Amino acid sequence: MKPLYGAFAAALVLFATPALALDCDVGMRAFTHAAGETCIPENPQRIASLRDDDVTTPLMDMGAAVFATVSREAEGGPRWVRGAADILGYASVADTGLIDLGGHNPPDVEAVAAAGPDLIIMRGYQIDVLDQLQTVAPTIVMPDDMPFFDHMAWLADAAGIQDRFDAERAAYQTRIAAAKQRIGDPGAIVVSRFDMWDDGLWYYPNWGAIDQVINDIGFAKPALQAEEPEGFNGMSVERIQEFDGDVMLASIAPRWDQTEAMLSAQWDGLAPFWRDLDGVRTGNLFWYERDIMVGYTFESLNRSIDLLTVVTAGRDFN
Amino acid sequence: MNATRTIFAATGFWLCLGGVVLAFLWHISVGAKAIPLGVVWQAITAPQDGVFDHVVVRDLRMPRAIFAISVGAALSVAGALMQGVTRNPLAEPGILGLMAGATFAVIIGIGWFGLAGSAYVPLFAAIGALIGAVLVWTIASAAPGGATPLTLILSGAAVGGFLYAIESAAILLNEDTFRNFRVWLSGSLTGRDMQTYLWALPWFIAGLIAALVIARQVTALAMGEETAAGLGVDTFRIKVIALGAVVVLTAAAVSVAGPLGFVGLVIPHVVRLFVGSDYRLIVPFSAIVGAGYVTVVDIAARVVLAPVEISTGIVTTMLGAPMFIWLVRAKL
Repeated sequence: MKPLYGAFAAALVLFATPALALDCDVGMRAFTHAAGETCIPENPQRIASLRDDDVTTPLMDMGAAVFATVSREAEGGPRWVRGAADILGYASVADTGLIDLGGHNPPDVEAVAAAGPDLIIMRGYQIDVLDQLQTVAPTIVMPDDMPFFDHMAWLADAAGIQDRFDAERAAYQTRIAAAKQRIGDPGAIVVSRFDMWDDGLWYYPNWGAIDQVINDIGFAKPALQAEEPEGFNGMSVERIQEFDGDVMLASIAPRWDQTEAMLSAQWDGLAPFWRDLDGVRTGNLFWYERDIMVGYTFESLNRSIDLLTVVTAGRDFN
Repeated sequence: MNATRTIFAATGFWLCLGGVVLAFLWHISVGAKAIPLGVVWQAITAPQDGVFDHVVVRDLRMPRAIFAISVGAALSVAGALMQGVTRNPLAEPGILGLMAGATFAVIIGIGWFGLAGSAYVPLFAAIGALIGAVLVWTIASAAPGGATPLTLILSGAAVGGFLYAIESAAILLNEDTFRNFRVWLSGSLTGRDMQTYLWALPWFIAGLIAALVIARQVTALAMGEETAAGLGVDTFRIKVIALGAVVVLTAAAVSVAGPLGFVGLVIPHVVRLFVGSDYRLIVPFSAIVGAGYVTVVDIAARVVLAPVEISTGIVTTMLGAPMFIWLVRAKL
């Protein structure tokens, strides 16, 4: 009899499963996110974003119907949207035309409710207010640490603009193919991301648009970076030679008053021999604006393609 | 001291000094980058500019080892003096507010008022350490029963917590300005520049010399103020000099490494186990043993999670905190 009981139980589970699926109203659909499954509008028109740089900005970049966003305080200036300010050129949150929801950590639930969104997108660190936000509008939690295009595709799916995403991605692939053609043999050029802070060297793989482009064009990387799955900070500068490359890319954040001279002086204090690295000695250290090139936007991808093509195409690194 | 004791002490001193030399050699021989011992030796004896391994040994490891030795000696001697003068077994720059004061002053003076430059760092640290010490002493003295070891510790904790809160507020209000202090605040010898050390060096030397000069009188003071006065010690003068030495040593150490907790607590107690209660021995032995201790601790900070380094202050605190708890149970 036991096999019969087992088969009965399996059949029960099988037939019961569809009944467990979320039953959404007309015009809504079930959407899986980091905190479960929620019914969201099929075509949301009033998206409230609770994270500016990696939610609001990519949504704006892809033309989604984002209408309210969290923002940041600026010393002596208007509040601004990180990412959109540097990548898309909106100096203040007012310039974006979006409703300002205030700070992001923690988000202001009353401000979100007053805005009247039909979809709220939040990040995992804000989960404490998820239940409150669910009473305002369908709220979804974006998973952490997704690869670049998974990140963009997830947002596009939530915002109901998958077609736009597909078109942008196809255009991107065309640009990558063109860049490869211009560069010739990208696999023969070692591109190293080189960043140093007062506790040592740091590196994060899959760091926004710039890394996506480095990978998609197919540049070689220093072994240390190619083999690093999660990233690190505070690596001893004794290992600095392992960051050498034909082309070295260092990030800089002018928004935070960083200048090339300032960072160079800091590096001179930490490890003056950074200037002896081949990539530096041969004049192949290039600075890129961090807030633009690591952003989650197609604009960031395009600018990264431009940068990497300019510094590598038609040049002999042997 | 009788002749046998003198010979015993001298032998011990040279042995400890040998230990520091060995710790120094160990420090410059290991690290995130594997460098053969022969190359390390070559880097010391016949350095070549173009050889990267030589550069690592001479420009990174050797200065850092020197910083570790200096900071270890300074904090240990400061702790020994404080324990002797206050007759408080739990006294040390970290617990009695000097380190918090020094750190606070550097953060506010350089970060907030924008008075950049290595030369200012020891000066700000000294002012802060002095203010921290005076605050702690004043608050403890105002408590019922006066400045006992317990009230001093509680007062030190309160002052330290208060200054830390202001530091945190200052950092929160201007994260960009204070970002450079992040590692230094955790007590670290990573990325310290030689210029700051050279500005702090006279402070190290002055503090250590002052401590050695007053060591005999501190021995008397450690037996009690009346006893010391009976032995002809000008107790007020010695206390002022001791305070000056402690402030100067703490300031110099904080300038170079940020706040390294518990070094000044652990080392004098360890030294006392071997040399007794004579500060003519405690002071020099604390300097030597403290120098070796921080050098070895810094090796651990560099290699335990290699190639990533952790702050030296994290290791000193992990080692010192159990000692502090034991002392509280045993001596309070």
